[in-house]
Amino acid sequence: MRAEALKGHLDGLLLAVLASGPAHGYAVIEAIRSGSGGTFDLPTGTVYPALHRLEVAGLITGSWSDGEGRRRRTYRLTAAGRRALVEHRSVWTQFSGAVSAIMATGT
Amino acid sequence: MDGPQSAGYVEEYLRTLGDALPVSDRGRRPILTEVADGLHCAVEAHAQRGLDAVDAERAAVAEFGDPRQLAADFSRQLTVACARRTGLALVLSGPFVGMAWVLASGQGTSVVSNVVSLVAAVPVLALVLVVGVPAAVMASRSSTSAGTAIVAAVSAIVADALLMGWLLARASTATGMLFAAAGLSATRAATATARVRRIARLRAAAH
Repeated sequence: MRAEALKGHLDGLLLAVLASGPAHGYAVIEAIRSGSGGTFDLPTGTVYPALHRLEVAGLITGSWSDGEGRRRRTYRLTAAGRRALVEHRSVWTQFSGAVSAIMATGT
Repeated sequence: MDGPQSAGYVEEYLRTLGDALPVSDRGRRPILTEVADGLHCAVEAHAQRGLDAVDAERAAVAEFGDPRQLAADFSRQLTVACARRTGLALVLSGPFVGMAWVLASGQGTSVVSNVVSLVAAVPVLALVLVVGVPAAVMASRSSTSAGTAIVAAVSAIVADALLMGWLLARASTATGMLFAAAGLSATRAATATARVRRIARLRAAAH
């Protein structure tokens, strides 16, 4: 599925992945790929600007660490991020329910 | 950065990404460091799936997507962040610069009478402030746009130029306080000009 199809939902997906625990960028995109059964196969680079945007918005926080011979940035959810995730889940439940109801019409 | 068996794909990707990012070395370094880590994770993941070193690198850079598109995505995000910081800086500096001019310029008995006499002396200033102040407040919000920040910054530059022009016209009678206020305005105008250029560069790179 192309990145355009996920527009508006990527932030919620990133927050949901980080709700399971801190992760670095590559682990986040891998979690989205494996969690969607390969349906959401975005260019890996896509995740980094999106994570930066969420960090600027205060929904996640990033920290640098050294390991395996290179520097790594790990992200974790903030309290504001947890609240935003609740909102994303609520909006998605409402949206997907409405789309399913209309799509089922006439079947 | 790459091991001895590096095929150079990762380095080339990072070089292209870095060249396309219109930011300082200080701003570019953490982005490249983070993407480099991700690329090496991808190389390791492909190597674990059985690819040799060269094919693993080639697959990793393909997986990351076009580096110019990634630079555009980063630029879009950086544009919003820069616009917001510009708005915040103008909202915070505005009262200080304004108060410096009001206190230095007036011979009235109160701050209000000083404001009235200053606006009467430079009437266009009121119009510039009516546009610039709301734009600065809007630009300081997280959902701001580059255009709003540019309007706010240009308004500040015009306001500072008007005030400094007014001071030049009466330089022979100007006090030290007025020159100090002009110094504040000159500093803010120079900073705002740099911000406008930076936002414009980032916005151009985001498309």
